[in-house]
Amino acid sequence: MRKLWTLSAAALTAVLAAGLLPAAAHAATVNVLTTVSVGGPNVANGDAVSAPLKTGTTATFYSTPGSSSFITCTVSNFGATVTSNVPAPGTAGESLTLQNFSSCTPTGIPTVTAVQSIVVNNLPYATTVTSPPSNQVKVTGTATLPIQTTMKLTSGLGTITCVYRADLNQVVGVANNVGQSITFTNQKFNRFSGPSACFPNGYFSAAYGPVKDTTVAGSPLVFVN
Amino acid sequence: MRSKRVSAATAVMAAGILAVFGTPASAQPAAAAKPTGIYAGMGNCPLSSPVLADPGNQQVGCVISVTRGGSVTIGSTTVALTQPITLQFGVYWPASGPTVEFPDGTVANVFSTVPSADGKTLTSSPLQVPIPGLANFLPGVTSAFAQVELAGPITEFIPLATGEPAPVFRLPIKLHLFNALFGLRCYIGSNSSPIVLGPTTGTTSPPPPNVPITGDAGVIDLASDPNGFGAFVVSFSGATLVDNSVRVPVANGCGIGGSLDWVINTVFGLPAAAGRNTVVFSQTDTSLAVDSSLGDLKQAIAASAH
Repeated sequence: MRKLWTLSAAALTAVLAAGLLPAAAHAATVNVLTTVSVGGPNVANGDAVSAPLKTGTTATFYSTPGSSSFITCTVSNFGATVTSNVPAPGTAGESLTLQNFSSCTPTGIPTVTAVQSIVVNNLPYATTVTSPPSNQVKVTGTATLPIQTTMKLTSGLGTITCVYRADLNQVVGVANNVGQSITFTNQKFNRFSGPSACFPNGYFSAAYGPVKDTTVAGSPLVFVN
Repeated sequence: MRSKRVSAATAVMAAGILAVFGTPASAQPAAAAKPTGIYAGMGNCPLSSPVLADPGNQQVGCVISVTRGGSVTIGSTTVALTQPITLQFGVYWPASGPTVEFPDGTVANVFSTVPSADGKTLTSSPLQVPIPGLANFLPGVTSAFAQVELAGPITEFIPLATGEPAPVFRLPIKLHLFNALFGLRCYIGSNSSPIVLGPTTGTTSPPPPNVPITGDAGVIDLASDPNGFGAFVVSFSGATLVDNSVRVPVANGCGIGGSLDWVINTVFGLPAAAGRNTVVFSQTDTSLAVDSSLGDLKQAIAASAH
């Protein structure tokens, strides 16, 4: 069931100005990823899409879901390249090329006084986006290049380097055409290396949005069909 | 004649055992409020040590560690650790103090240690040691009792080595042997030539013929001070620390004038080169209280005491 969304006037203007909404587009097949609106112009293969954290939200890494021990980042971005935007309903392919974190602080972790860095390793990751109703966004690593994140933490005992890998080598989120967001909730990571002071597991939650096609002039919003 | 020998042997053995167990009650310090909660067992932390009070220290702390199982293997002789071994000491790390970097990028502070306030940094009880090639029908005569004793300061205490393939600390020990014939000053190892243990919760890299073995960091718990002080406690429960790269030196002081040293050396194959011996400390519970301020740490521990 498709749901129509109100166009952003600014985005529409930008798209029209860029000539990216030809009449033929309306007659053509609607792919999984479109810009401007549901059923709008298809996102071209090779286009870059990206998003920051949703305004007013943070990315968090909990030791256990809902725990009082966690790391919060107020800045995080992701960026991907569309590799196979197939007709809807279906599953589009992307390559996750960027995911970063900054302005991170620890809370309730007794030995840790600061977060030096959180770095996502082994990029790019294969990513899929599936049509409604699942709206699933699935990031998958490979055996040789698993989904991995390295945290450097300052503690009273030294600088702790904790390396975590995604459970089952995948991270799953949900896209939402309201706000063009992607939400990850309690995605489990397992400690791959590091001292015992690193939590055995980390649970990642974040909501990114709005997702925009930055290759297209005006960076129109991206919708899932 | 025979009965006199047995009596003498019994007396020597009894003297040895009394020397081990016979701490009179009057020697005990006056009862004082003992730390409880996350600071339990830290009553002998050397909080009055001038070394800990050095203003150059960035971190100071207290350690209590109790091992309730495991084994010591020297050559082909294995002794089960059936009695608790307790370590208690203070630690400090000066600003810009020594660090060590592990392969995963962790840069760990290397703490120095201060002996326990009561002088009992390491306490243990005697363990019966079979004498290779000899049926043990009369313990203390056809076997020996061995007690682990400290042979120098504990060094290179690295809390973040827990879970890493690196020693958590360096522990110099000597084994005090008690037997009717060995006398009271019979040791394997000495203060000048100790058995230096470097136990790890990670995986060892021993010389052959030993092969790598792996310890276990146990269950870690991190706790902030419950009364609002700045101290925090890191505890490891049920850990197993292993070292099979340890070298065991020769015996000394056994028999009159060391006349039986060669017997000990022969039956235990001493000196035993690294790669032929194994130490396993299992069921080890360790708590480390750390604070950036000695005064704050003192108050935190005092506030927990009942």
